[in-house]
Amino acid sequence: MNRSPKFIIAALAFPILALLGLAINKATIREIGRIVTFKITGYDPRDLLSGHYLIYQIDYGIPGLCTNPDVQGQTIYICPQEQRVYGDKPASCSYFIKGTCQNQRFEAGVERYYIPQEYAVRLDRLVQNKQGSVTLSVASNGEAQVNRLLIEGLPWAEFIQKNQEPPAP
Amino acid sequence: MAKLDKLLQDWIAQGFINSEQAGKIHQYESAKPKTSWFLYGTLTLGVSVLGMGIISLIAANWHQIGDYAKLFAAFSILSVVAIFAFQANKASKRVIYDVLVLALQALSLATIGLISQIYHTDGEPYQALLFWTLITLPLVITTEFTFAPFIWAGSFIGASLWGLLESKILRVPEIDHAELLLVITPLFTAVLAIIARLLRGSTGIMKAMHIWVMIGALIGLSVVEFWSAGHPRLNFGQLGTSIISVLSLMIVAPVAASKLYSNLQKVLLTSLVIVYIIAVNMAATRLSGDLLGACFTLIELGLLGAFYASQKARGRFNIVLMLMGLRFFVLFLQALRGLAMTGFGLILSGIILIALASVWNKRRHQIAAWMERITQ
Repeated sequence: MNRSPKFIIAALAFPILALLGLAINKATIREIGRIVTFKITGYDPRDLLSGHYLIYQIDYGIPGLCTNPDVQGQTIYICPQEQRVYGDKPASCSYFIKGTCQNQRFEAGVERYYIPQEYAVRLDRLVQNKQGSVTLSVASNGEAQVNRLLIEGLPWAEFIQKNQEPPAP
Repeated sequence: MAKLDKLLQDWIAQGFINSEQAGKIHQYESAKPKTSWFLYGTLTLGVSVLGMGIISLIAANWHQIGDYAKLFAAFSILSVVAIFAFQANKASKRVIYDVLVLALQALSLATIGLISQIYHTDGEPYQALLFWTLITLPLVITTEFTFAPFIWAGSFIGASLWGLLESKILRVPEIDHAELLLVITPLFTAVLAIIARLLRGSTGIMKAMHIWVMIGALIGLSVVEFWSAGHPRLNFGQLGTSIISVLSLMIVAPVAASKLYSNLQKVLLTSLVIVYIIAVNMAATRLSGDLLGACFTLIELGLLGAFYASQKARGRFNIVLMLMGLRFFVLFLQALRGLAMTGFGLILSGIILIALASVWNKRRHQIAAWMERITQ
């Protein structure tokens, strides 16, 4: 087996560079994307690797989105401003979001938000009560990324701080 | 060293070497760097526990700490571990190098979790695992011991099969997805082991693949027996049959074309695949009963044992023999429904096995030569 110093350096550096590339890609979309906010509803499961998260559905304001059986499993582009769905990148729309229709739901890879364990139950309740919204960073190619979770228009941590619950009796 | 001393004394007594030569051999062997299995085992356990701790720590989501600070800390730790690993390799400290590679594997997985958490990525766990196996493959190739490749191979097999289950290809409602995955597990692990062998994988990877092939074989055989015993009919559909056929071909074709396998090994591997496909099909069409299912298991284990014997893999051969013995015992309990009859059946089987072993021991050269002739 190849154990030359060059191969060892490459083998040791490869995972670090790949992870760095992934982080830079995500950071770029977050920093340069157009910021838009949508209302959400959801629930709270747990990921062993990354902790608690909320899974929610985003209300893009497009009636009947992904209800057509013909578009299931297909990549589509939505234009929330026009409340329209496109098969290809729409030239007329100022921003659009790329995603697929799965089980009659539009999924753009932005339906998850990681939260600290101690706030999971409370945040879940607030989101279930339709008090939540998310801000997305949308890149020019339609790729979107979650930016912030808002509760009644405030960043969730700020909302929690301002609305401390009394300790349980 | 005690074993070597004993051997050297024996060779001196037999007149093969003199005392001076024995001294030189002893000196040469003593100067070799020693690998401590105790040190490797303890360090491996420590790093594994540490890795799980880091993953749990990241999962706790320290939202008060800034995202870039968390990323900076993660990449700094990764870089420091990589530098230490490079130094350990340079100093030929194989145990330390392998343990640091394991640490790097664990930290890479933890960093994937951290990036998912910071950027709220919405992927499935199998996608994260596949990405992790992809970026850590070059690392695993450089290791010598089995643990890091074992974890890597297990993650790759699990994530690939999970990915297949979730893929659009298998989203056909009339197919029993989970059952199909269990059936193809031994074929899939065998394909990976053959690829590793053909690419002349490191000792660690080969050992890890052997363990997974055995685990895969046990899963496949258990599932086929379970269905043979009359559980609901299997339905693989055209697609499932095609996947099984392609995987079977991916085992048989490269083995047949390779010079790394003897003719006997080629016959044994092909027979293993054919018998497995027959067993799966009979279980699927309900032509097989519980006893026939057990017979298929014993034939498969016998072929696997013969293959390991042909590779002179004593450890694996003994494990297969033990499994055969266990299955024989259960088979007689199933068939004869009583301890007395089971006892008679086992005694008879034992006599047959001893007779077969005696014949093999006396005639093995003729049998091997005959096998080579018929397969040429």
